[in-house]
Amino acid sequence: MLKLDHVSVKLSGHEVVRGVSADLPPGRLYVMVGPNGAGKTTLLKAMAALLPLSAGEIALNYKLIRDMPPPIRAGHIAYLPQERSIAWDLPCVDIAALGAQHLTPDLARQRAFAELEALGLHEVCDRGVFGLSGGQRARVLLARVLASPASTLLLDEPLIALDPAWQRQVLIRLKQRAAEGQTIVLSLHDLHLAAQFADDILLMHKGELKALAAPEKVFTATHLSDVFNLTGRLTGPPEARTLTLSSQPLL
Amino acid sequence: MTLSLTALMSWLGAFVALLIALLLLFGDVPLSGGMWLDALIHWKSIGAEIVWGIRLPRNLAAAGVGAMLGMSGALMQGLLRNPLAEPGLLGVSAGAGLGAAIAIVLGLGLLDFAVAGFALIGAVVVAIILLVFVERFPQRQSLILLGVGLSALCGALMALVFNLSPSPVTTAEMLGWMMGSVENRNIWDVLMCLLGLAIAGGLSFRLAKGLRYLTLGEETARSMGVDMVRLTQVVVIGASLLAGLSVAVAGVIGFVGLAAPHFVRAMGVKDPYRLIAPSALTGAIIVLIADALVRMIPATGELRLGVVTSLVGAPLFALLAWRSARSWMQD
Repeated sequence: MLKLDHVSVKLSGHEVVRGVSADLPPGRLYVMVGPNGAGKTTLLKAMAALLPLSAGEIALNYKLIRDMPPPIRAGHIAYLPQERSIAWDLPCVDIAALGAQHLTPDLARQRAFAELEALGLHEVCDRGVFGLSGGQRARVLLARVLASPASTLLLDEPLIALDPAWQRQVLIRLKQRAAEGQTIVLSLHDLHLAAQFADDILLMHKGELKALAAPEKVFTATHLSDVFNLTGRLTGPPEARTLTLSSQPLL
Repeated sequence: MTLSLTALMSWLGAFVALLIALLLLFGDVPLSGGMWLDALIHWKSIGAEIVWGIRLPRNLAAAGVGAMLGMSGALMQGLLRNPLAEPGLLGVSAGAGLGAAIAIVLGLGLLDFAVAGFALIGAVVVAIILLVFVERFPQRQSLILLGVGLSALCGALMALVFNLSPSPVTTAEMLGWMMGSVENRNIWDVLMCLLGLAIAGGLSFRLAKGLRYLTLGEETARSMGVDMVRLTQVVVIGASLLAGLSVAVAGVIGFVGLAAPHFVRAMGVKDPYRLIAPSALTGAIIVLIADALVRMIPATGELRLGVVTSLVGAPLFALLAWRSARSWMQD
């Protein structure tokens, strides 16, 4: 269970996240949405203990994450940042195997191969990442997180650079992992995909958590209008939700 | 085909040993067959003095200095995630050079220990400034800025020392030091190299594994449990010690620290942690070959090692860069 208790975060003196409280039980796929500057990335970094909190606490399984030694914390929480730079032309399998640091080198490679294969990269496993497309590199980095033993995965915009087919494949994979018992929190800008795949939506607006609930309860006409300046409605049963959106004039 | 790390290390190690042995054949004084026999049988003979007392320490010092520069370059490139980083970037080499210049201008140029000692003091002062800074500002960009600033300051102070030099002889002596040499190095110089390599190598082996995670950026490394302040301190201590000692032993030798890790990458090792040891051996090979050329190329005075490493290495490095660029184009 990941628990956020009145979490606030300041960046350069400005409060970017304000008083966020949430209980995130395991086994669910949480999708964080919100307009630019809503505080999604900052909140994810705070959950990964990469930023100090100006107020509040974050606990994982009733232990404060700030008190966990970093290597221990890394065994519980895996984080995929929005920044995707890779400094050296390492083979894909070596990069994915970095996520499985808890295993012996041989087992880590096996684990990495399995995750790369699941993400359609079996043919390029031994190739250097510099020779891959942006979308393939994004999947290699995702494989690193999926190879981790962590019970909680925090993913900042994991679908960037992926084509529509792979966006859906990745979300299906993450949904499977959530069903197997992991806590998965990811930020997305695509509200249609968020509506279709999320078990719960975290709606961020101006640094505050506006709502945390199933898509049906979050994607209401009021929220869509107030937060995104969009009109729309969510229809269909949970397994086949459809979000129809249209924009409003900005002024 | 890519060699395994063990195989690569074995090959490189064997090549270093071969070069050290081969270079015993070359020197200012040609040795006759009889002198060689003497050198091998009679330890007190002139031949033995030349081979074991002059040439062997010189070869070992060349290998040691090259290894220190190669290892230092690999550590710096790994920490800064930048293939253009090299030992001189943090200003430690410039600090050591300034220390040596001060020793020479004070008239201590003939005392090897004094020059090396002053060079070490210069390197240590810069390293302490860097470490104090890292404690407060562990960001790599800040470290680069401070290093460039310290390097420029030491360079300016060195120019001032040149400017105030009492005689052209002293100036020439300082200039000679700046261009690097392993001529007339003794067993103490070799021991200094071994000490530096043992300390920095041990530190890196135990504590620099984080460089591997840093490949994916600082945030990823931190999220994977890497203590960035500790990692930066370890690398700064290791790289500074190696760069400072290399200047203390052989003066300023450019290019080796930059190029050695690139040569190793061209041999298939891309992981910045696994790159450290082979870069040391490759650095040793570069300096040994350069020192062989120093001895073999006819010149009015002896060519300086730093000049040759750059003259020979730079075109090789350009060729390597061209091949890399071509392979990226084909990808």
